[in-house]
Amino acid sequence: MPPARPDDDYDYLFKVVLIGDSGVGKSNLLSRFTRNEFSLESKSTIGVEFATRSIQVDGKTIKAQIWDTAGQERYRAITSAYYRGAVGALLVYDITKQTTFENVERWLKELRDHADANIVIMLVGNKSDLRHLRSVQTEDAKAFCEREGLSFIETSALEATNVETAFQRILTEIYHIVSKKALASEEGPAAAPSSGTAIKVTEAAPETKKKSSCCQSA
Amino acid sequence: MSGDGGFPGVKSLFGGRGGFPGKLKFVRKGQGSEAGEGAASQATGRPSDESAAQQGMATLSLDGSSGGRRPMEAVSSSSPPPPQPTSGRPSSAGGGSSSGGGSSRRTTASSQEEAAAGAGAGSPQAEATIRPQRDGVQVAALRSMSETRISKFNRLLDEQVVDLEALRELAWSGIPAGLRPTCWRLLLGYLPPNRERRTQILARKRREYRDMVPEYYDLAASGVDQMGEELGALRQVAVDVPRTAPGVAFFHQPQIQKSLERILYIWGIRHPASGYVQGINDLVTPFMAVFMSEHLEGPIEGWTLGGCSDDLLLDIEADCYWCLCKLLDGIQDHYTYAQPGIQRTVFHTQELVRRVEEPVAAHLEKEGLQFIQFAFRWVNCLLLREVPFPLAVRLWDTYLSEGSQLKEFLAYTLAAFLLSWSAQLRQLEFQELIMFLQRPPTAGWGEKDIELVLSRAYMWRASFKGAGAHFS
Repeated sequence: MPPARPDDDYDYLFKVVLIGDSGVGKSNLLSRFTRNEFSLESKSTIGVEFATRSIQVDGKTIKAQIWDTAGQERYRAITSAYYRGAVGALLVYDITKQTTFENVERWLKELRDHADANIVIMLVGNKSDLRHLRSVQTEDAKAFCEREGLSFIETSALEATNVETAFQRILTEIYHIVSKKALASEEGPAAAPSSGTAIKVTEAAPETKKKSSCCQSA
Repeated sequence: MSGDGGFPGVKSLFGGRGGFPGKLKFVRKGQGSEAGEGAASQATGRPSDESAAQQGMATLSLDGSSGGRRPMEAVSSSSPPPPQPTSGRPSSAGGGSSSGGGSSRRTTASSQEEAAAGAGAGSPQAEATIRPQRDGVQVAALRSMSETRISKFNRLLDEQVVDLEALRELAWSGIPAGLRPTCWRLLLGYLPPNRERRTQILARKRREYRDMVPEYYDLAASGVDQMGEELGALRQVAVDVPRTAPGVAFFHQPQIQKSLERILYIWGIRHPASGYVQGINDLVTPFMAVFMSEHLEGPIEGWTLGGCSDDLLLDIEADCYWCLCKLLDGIQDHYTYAQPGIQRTVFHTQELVRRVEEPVAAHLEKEGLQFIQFAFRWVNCLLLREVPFPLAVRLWDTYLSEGSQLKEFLAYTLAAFLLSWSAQLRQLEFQELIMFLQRPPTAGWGEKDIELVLSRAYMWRASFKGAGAHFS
């Protein structure tokens, strides 16, 4: 085994997927969050792409392992395999393209069909910098999220607006759910999980406690 | 015989890489049209590979020192062995029309590898420039195509009826830039081998395409009379065209963008089993670049469409369309629902890696890395995204020469591509592995690097073919 690397020092590892129609800016949200990069000329994503970044929440190191998926319908058979084990999903639409918002319902169905029932979903309206081209009103998206029980944020990967916040927020939300469950299970009648064992959050739990290689899925 | 001394090179290739598992050994076998036989069984009972290799090396270095550039030349020449250097056709192909491909192409790779070994053994200076990760393998620098090679192409192309098998064989190792447009059209079966019929057929196909534009595209683009599916297809194409080959300015001129949009949309509508799938946009770019090169001077970086008439552009667009059709005909199931063709190729790639370099396969597995996680895109875009654009064109020479064998050959190519970094891969863990393989470091690659990948792929196929059980 190679020695553990510093960036592998984490308390929690959360797998998150980025989904939504093609061209809404998923890959740029990811590159903005993980590398602080943005490219107006990025190529389309084929299949899935992977990136990672660690952040701090309540003094804990949370490592996000993010799978960015191709938006075209043809790829869903391939990409939906990556939903398994995901504890969070950023469902992205483009605020300047009404159809990408209309398709959000279909994406939610995808998640219901293939992802864990407890997955935390955040709706993300991207390209908020294109104010003059807006075709999806913030209020409409908010109302939709209230009905569906999703969190919501508008971002601009280009201007780096709210990108950090979006990821921070969903990871924090996941963390709170996980730590609450961990607490609950420690209080349970049977023996508490000994330190170092994975805590079952959902069917496919994120691994915890300074492991040097992470859990794989799909 | 001297021209056949290729396998020692092969041996040294694997020996040098230290990666080839002992259970499978390459032993040269006669004039060998039996490329299909399992190499493993051939190995037993042979004297010693080592000594065979040494003998071969000795011969080669002799050749290298006396013959000077002969081995180097062999690299850029897929031609039949030296005994009949000027006969346009290899003897095997002449013997029976059906024997063609396999055996004669095997000679090709052998001579390439021979050259690789020869150059390494023959010139100490060359040895010194070997990069660490390419230890033991030194492909001779590929300078400009030699005159002899170009004249071989010309001789073939000047025939009244082009011998396609011979052309495939020659083109497999790379086509001189000026002859590429014609060769590609011929290899794809877009241009008929018979010279007399060419003008007529080309004119007809181009007219046919021109008729399709109003019939399919203009109607959809005007927004009249369109169904939801067509609208979706058009939208998808429109999203992807501006993201096509972002690094190459030429493709971003408005007329070219429009051409790409029409080609892709019409292709999708006429192939409803798959429809347009993201990544197919990448696959048009080599055609566009090569067919444009007939009319524009210098490197693609400086191309503008200033002097090109609309008529000319439409002809080129038509050629791109039909050639894309021909290319995709052979790999349609890469793009149908659930993309079974891609999944199969990825699986074959994985099996091959297991066979060729088990420790690498074991390491990837231990790290929990699945081939589909990185190789899916490799297949989907035929490695176009993984190599610098000029090399993609070179890659296409081989792909198009493979013809109906391309599907099968891809798995070998991907395995060879992956194992270009076998030493590094074994040092990486899951996350590093996937990041590395998402952006394999090919920015500094030249033709010789891609040719090394191709010739290894070629050899593995020659040795595994027929030992097909591993693909069951």
